[in-house]
Amino acid sequence: MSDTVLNVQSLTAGYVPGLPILHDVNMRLGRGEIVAVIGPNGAGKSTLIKAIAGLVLVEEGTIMLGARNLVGIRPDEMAIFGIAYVPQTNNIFRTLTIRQNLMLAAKRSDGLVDDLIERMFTLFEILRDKQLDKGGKLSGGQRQMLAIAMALVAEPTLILMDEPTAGLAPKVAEEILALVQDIAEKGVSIIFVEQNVKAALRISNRTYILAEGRNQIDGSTQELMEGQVIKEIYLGGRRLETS
Amino acid sequence: MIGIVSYLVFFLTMGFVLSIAVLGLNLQWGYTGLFNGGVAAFFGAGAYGVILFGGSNKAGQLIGFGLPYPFAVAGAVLLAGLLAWIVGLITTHLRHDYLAIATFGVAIAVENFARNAEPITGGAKGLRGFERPFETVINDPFWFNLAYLIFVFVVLIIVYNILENIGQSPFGRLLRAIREDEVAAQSLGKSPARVRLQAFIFGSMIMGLSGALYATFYAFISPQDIVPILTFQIWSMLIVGGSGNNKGAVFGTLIVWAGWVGSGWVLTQFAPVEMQLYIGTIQFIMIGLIIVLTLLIRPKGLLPEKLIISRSVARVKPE
Ligand SMILES: Nc1ncnc2c1ncn2[C@@H]1O[C@H](COP(=O)(O)OP(=O)(O)OP(=O)(O)O)[C@@H](O)[C@H]1O
Ligand SMILES: [Mg+2]
Repeated sequence: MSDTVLNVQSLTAGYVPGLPILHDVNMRLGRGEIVAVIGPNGAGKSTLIKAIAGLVLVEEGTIMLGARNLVGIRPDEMAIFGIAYVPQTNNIFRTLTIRQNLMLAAKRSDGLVDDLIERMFTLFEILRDKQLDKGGKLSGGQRQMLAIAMALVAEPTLILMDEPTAGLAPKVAEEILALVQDIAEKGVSIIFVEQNVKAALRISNRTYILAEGRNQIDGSTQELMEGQVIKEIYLGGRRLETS
Repeated sequence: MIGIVSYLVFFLTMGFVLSIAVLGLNLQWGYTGLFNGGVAAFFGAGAYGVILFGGSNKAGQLIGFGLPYPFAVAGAVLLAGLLAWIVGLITTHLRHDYLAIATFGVAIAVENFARNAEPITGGAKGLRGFERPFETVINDPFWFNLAYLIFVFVVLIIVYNILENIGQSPFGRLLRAIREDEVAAQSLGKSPARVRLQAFIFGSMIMGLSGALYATFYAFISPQDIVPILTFQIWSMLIVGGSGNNKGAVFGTLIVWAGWVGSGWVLTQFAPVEMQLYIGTIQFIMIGLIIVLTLLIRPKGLLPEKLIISRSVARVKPE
C-alpha cells in the first residue's frame, strides 16, 4: 500500500511501570489512510492512542514516525512532528471562547492564523456563528467539531482521534465520519477509535481489533466484514492471535 | 478632621499596597490555578529587599547598599522573583497540593530566616534606618503620606493594566487553558511546566513589589510583618473579590481591609477590657469566617471572572 507514515512495533505500554495495559501491539498507517481501532470497553484503545501521543509510559517497542522513534518524546513536542491528538473527553477548553480555542490550537501566531480559522469556519459554519461563545456552551456534536477543528488548525499530517462520535446522535455522528473521510482525502493520515463497528469498517481503509491490550486481527476492512472474527471477539468467543 | 483625613490616607495607601499583592496572587491562582500558600514569603522578600538594597549600611549589619530608590525597588522585585524561581524549580512541576505545601513551608523558612539572620535582617528587631524617597523634600508627614498614596495608586494602576493586558494576550489564554486542562493543553503543543513557572515567578515578583511599597511606607520591616496570617489575609481578599477578575481582586482587597481595620477599631472601642488582649485572635477568626462564608454563599466572589474576549476577536465581530 501507500508509504508508511506511522509504524507501531511490539508496543508494550501502560500507566504504571511493570503493569502494562498494551502487550506487544503492532499497527501500521499509510499516508492519507484511515485506520480504525475497535474493541470492547477497557481493551486499551484509548491507551494505544495516548501511547502514540506520548501520554503513557512505553516499556517496550517502537513508534516510528518515518525514520524517527516517537518513544520518549514529550506530548507537547508531538505538535512539532505534525501529530494532533483529539482526546475522548475534555477535548476543548470550556472556559475559552470558540475562537480562543482555535487560536490556542494554531501553531502559528502570524497573520495566517485568521485565514486558517476562517477556513475552519467554512468547514463548520455553526462554529462561526458561535465563535464568541464559551466552549462550555456547545452541544456534544458541536464540541466534537470544535475539537476536530482544533486539530486541523495545527495543520497536522497525522490525527489521532479517540471516539470522535461517542455520545452523538446518529445523524451528527454521520457528519463527523464524513468529515474524517474528507480530511483523509486531503492527505492527512488518521487513526480513530470507534465504538460502532459497522461505521468503523465502512469508512476506514483498515481496522485493528484490540482486546485485553492485544492485537486480535487486522486486515483489510473487506476481510473483516466477511469474517467471523468480530462477532467472536465481541461475543467473547474464541480469540484469535495476532495474524 | 485632619486626623480622619490622614487616617483615610493611611487606609487607602495600605489598601492599594495590599491590592498589588492580591493582583499577583490573582495571576497565579485566578489565571493559572497555582495555589501559593506562601504569599508572605514573596511579599517579605520584596519588603526586606527594598530596605537591604536601598537602606544605608550600619554597624553590625552586613548588607545595606544604599542604592537609589528605583534600583532598590527593582532589586526587591528581582529578589522575590529569584526566590520564586528557586521554589518553582524545586517543586518542578508545581502541582496543586504540593505547591501549596511547599510554598507554605518556604514562607515559614523566610520568616525564620528574617527572625534569626540578624546580621542581614536585623533579627526580631527588624530593619530600620531607611530613607524614603523625597522625604527630605516633602518634610511635612501629612503631605508626604498623601504624595506616597498617589505614588502607590499610580503603581497599582500600572500593575492592573499590565495584568489586564496579559489576561487578553495569547499568554493569558494559555494560562487559562492550562488551568482548565493540562493534558489537553499539552496535546496542543504547550508546555504547562514552563508556562506555570513563568506565571509563578511573575506573580511572585508582583507580591515582592507590594512588599517593597509596604516597607517603604513604614521605612521599617520586621518578621512580625510577614507572619503566615498575611498569606491568609491576601487569600481572603482574592476569594471575596472574585478570583480570575482583576477588578474583583482590588475590590475584595478594599472590602476585607476595611473590615479588618473597622473590626479592629470597633473591638478596641467596645470590647470589654479583658477581651482586648484577644483582638488579634478575634480578627483571625473573622478572616477564616469570611473565607468560609464567601465560599458557601458566593463561591465565585463578589465580582466573578468574566468572559475574556481578546482584542483580535473584538475586531472580527460577526456581522
Ligand atoms: N489513567 C489510568 N491509570 C491506570 N489505568 C488506566 C488509566 N486509564 C485507563 N486505565 C486502564 O487501562 C485499561 C484500558 O483502558 P482504555 O481507556 O485504554 O480502554 P478503552 O479501550 O479506550 O475503553 P473504552 O471503550 O471504555 O474507552 C483499562 O483496564 C483501564 O482501567
Ligand atoms: Mg477509550
